[in-house]
Amino acid sequence: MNCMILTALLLTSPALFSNETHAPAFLDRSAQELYLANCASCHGVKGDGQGTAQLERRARSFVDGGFSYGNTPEAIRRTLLYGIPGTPMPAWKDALTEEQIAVLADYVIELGPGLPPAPSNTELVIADRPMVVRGHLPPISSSAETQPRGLLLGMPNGFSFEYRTDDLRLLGMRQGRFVDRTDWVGRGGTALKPLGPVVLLESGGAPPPTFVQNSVAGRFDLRARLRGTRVQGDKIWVQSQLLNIQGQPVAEVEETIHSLVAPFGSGYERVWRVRALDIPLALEFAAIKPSAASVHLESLPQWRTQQGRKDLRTAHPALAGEILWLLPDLPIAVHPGQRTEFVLGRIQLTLEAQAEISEGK
Amino acid sequence: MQLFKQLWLGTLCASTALAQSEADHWTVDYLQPPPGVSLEVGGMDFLPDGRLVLSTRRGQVWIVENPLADDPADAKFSLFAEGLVEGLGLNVVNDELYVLQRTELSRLSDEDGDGLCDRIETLCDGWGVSGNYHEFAFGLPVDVQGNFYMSLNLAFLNPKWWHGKSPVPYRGWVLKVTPEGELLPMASGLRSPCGLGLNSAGELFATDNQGDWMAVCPIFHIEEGGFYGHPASLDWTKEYQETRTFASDTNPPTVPRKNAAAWIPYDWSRSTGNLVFDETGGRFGPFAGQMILGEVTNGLILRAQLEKVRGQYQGAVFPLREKVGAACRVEFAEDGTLFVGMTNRGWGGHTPADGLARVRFTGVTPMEMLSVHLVSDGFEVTFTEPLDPASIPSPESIGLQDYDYDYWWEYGSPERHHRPISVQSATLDSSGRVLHLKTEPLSAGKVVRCKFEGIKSSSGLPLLHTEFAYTINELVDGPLSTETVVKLVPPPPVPESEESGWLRLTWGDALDMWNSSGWELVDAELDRDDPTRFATQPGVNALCNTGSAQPSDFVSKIEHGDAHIRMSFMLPEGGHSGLLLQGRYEVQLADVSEVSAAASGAVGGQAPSRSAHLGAGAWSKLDIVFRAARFDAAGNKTENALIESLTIDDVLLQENLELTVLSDAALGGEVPMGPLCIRSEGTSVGIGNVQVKSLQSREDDRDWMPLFDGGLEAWTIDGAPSWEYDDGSLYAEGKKSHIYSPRADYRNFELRAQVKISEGGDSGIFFRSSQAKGWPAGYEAQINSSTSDPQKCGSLTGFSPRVVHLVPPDTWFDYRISCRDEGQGTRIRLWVDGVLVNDFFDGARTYATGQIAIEQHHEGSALELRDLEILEFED
Repeated sequence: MNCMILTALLLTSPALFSNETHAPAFLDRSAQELYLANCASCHGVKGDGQGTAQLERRARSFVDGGFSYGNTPEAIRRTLLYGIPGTPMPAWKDALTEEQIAVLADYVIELGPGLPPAPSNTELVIADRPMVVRGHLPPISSSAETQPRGLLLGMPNGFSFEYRTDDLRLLGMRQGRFVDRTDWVGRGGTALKPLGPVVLLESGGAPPPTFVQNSVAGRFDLRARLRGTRVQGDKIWVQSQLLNIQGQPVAEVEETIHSLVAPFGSGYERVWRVRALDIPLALEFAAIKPSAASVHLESLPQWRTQQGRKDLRTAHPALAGEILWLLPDLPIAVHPGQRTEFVLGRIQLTLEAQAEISEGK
Repeated sequence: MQLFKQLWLGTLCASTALAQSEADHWTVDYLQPPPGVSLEVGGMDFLPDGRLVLSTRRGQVWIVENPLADDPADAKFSLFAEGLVEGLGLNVVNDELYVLQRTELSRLSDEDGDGLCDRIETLCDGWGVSGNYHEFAFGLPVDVQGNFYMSLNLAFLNPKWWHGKSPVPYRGWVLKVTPEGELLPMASGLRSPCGLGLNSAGELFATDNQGDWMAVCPIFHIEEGGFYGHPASLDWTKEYQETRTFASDTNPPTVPRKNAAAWIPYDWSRSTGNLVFDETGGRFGPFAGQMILGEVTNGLILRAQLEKVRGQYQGAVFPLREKVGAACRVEFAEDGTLFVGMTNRGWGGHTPADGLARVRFTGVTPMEMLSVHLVSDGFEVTFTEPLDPASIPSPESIGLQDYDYDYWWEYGSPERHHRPISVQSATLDSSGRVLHLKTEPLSAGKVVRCKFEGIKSSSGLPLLHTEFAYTINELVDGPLSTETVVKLVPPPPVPESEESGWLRLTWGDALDMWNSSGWELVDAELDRDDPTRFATQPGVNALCNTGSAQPSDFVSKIEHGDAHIRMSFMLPEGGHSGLLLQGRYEVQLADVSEVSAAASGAVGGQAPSRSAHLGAGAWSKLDIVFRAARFDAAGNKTENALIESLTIDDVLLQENLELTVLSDAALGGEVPMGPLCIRSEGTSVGIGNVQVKSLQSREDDRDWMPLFDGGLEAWTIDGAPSWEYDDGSLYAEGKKSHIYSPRADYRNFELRAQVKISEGGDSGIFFRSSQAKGWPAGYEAQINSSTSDPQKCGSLTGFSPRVVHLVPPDTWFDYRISCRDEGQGTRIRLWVDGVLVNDFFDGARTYATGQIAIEQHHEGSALELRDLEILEFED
């Protein structure tokens, strides 16, 4: 990590972290003033990506057109609201008003050569209702496998979550346009084309099972089996059973997942409601072991608030890894006939967040 | 209305003989989905309140209000669910909606009552999905116990696209799913079993689709544990699992096969859809209890009347109603309307290609064969009306013949062992409705096809359909049969499976290889309002001469001699065109259903051997093996040009036909090499997928010198060590790199090599080149089949691009390059698979001399190149 560069970045790009300094509204300023104040340091005064900030990868040139994370005004507003995890593009939802974000979205579109044509008639576009798509999914990464049975959960805020269905494992999270139903041509059956770039990849796209059962005899993988999906308001619930190594169901599970956006990074939060069927279970996560980069949520119940996130930032200066896990207390005890709810969060720290932590030291 | 029609018919009948048309008895109309919606129907059923609910191959579920409205426009569609992965089966059970997706059987519900599905529950997903495109799941009848029935298509894989394989359980099976979601494999041996149906006794029937091991389209009575003929699915039987046996692709299995209840003649069905039983109590016509089937390719409705003979189903098949559309799904509404769900995307066939049709009985009973029963000395044919005794044909004029088929791995089987069957007498019973045909002894294990001429009802009506095809599994008496209709034959040898050598002349940029005006790449189908023309919209499915009022002929830039030529075509009603081989010899393409010199497949006045015509709006595949005329050194013709074979949709229409007549549109006199030409003759024509494989001899005994004589040692590598060489073969994989020949003075020469480039790969052979920053400076013969660079194989990069995708990736092709100075410039010619595809004169002679170089363009690209050889010239 090069502290000089990061220092420069901090100096020239105040908007990235110091939400407080931008608290006064810009409502009476023009779109251009808004842009110059908030965007130009990275994206350039002309929108050509030639800003003064030194970034590891150049910011988008609006002049050249094309928006990887969605090209509609809605998608660009979403990018402004929630940022782009894993890149220096921060979330602006706390720093700007919705009106300002709409003004900026229109402004950066104006800078470019105009919007590309409307989506093809095979593209599924999410409006205000989440969408569940089943289908054949291509490998999510170069080392991952194709998924003949796949599940895509698309959210109105532009994030989507990709699962493989056979044992219900989360493969990753995308941001941007939703999916092109490329299986609507020819005889069909071919892989769909999720359109949003992957912003978060789970174990290289080949994750282990989610849960293990911790018992006196040892630790056993629990295989999840999809039982259904349910759309309710702005949430999608995924219903499954957990099967033991004999293939018998031991628990019923409902999961919902949504994006998490913090000033220092983005990721997801998964909420499970688990009910054991016959005997109590002690659950742990197969892939996650508490480490320096994990926080026990029970010790930080208010973390979803701004203050909580600030506390998180200052209370855990050792967060130097790439992933911050927000964990329940482990193992999780679940009982027959009783629904236990718990949360797992994962945040992909942005470079700036790490820098800030370094600075904090 | 009904009374009026009968009166009207009666009046006319009294005075004159009448022609019946199908439309007098069954009308067809079409509901109108919302604009822009492609309704590719895969499943249909009715909700208790009479609304129609249907699932589509696009993974949508639509609800249709008012489906029985008199005016089709009054039926209203609303989207209930989307995001499913296909829906080729649907059933409403106890008010609950079940949809069979490719990957699971699901229950769909709307919990908050907003008219949109919000909950999708997985009832069963216990079968395998390997990812192969053809792994459809078909369904979905439900029996009185609440069990669901479904069937799984085989995966279609190499060596040809249609070879059925069962890589995962239970491909090629019929399965039962209990109401609790337990999956019970029932029967194996299916191939592409698109339709399932239960009769009122709870017996299960399945249709299948002709292909490997499936001679033509059958109707099977599915029995627990039965094996129905396609070996691939046997891999999942207990016996094969226990003995670790795997089904052979080419050798027939020894497992006993169940008979089909009926084999449908090829000219009636090539892709059978699903089946329902007519339990409408006469509201659909006179065929109570009989089976009604959809047909996708020919776009019609068929009827089967089955009977049990000595414990086995067998019986007769008849056409019922033509010109409906790609009938994948049929389902009766309560009022006897037959709803027809259409889709043929990727499967081909009759238009309309998708949407929803209604077939309704007008109430006017047709003069028709009601049923055919096998009796000990022939057949008893029952008619819907009493016969006019005077119209009964003489026994010898009744066309009766039988035939059987081959059981083999080839795609479909011709009818074999055709044998005329003599009719000894044809007598009418006392009711006047039953005609007894006494025949010479019949055989089991045969299909009998019968055609009546001249039969009329007592009121003077001719037969609406004059033919039936009856499958005899068992005779009514005598010993039980040991024969099956589809006979075991020695497996034919496995042919060359490679696609190598084929040039795709209309892929990628479809117009690049052609000289034309007024031709455009579109999606085309018959205009419903005016079927003599196409309705077109932007798309990629057809090359049509619809781009201007006076389109030119469509003439290839390449020329061919001896060649194998493939092309798809489609015509509107009354449409005609022609394919001119070498721009000289004309193969007729015409919407003509009679066998005549004007029909498709006629050549130079020679009619085809039979009609392979599918009708207007249907795509057909033309396949021609052509031998060019031969000439002596003085240019005198020594042998006529010849069509070795000409097939349309695999039906052989011409064989060893010498060509002596030139088309009136011929581009000139007979020549060794000439272009392909598709005519614009005043009507629209659609073509696609034109491919040519040169059969010209490529023998060349000139003194070619290998360029990698000493391996790569003397060559210079500029870039990453991405190269490997082994015994004449060069491999490149890895980071960007170029290799340069040791000599740098190559000037006039020919180069040749066999080349294969990966999907997403990019390479090139540079010549007269020298090392430069970034890329070699020199001419480049492009090697690229699938990257975003529009310059594909056959391009002289930067000078003369070829944007057509001539060669698929991962396919070997022959590349030949000629580079010769001519006058002040340099002429460069490129041949792909023996066909000259680029001829460029560089008047500036940009590069005068230099090295040969090979490119490894980027990581992820893989090149194989073998036998790189050069032939140098002094001049």
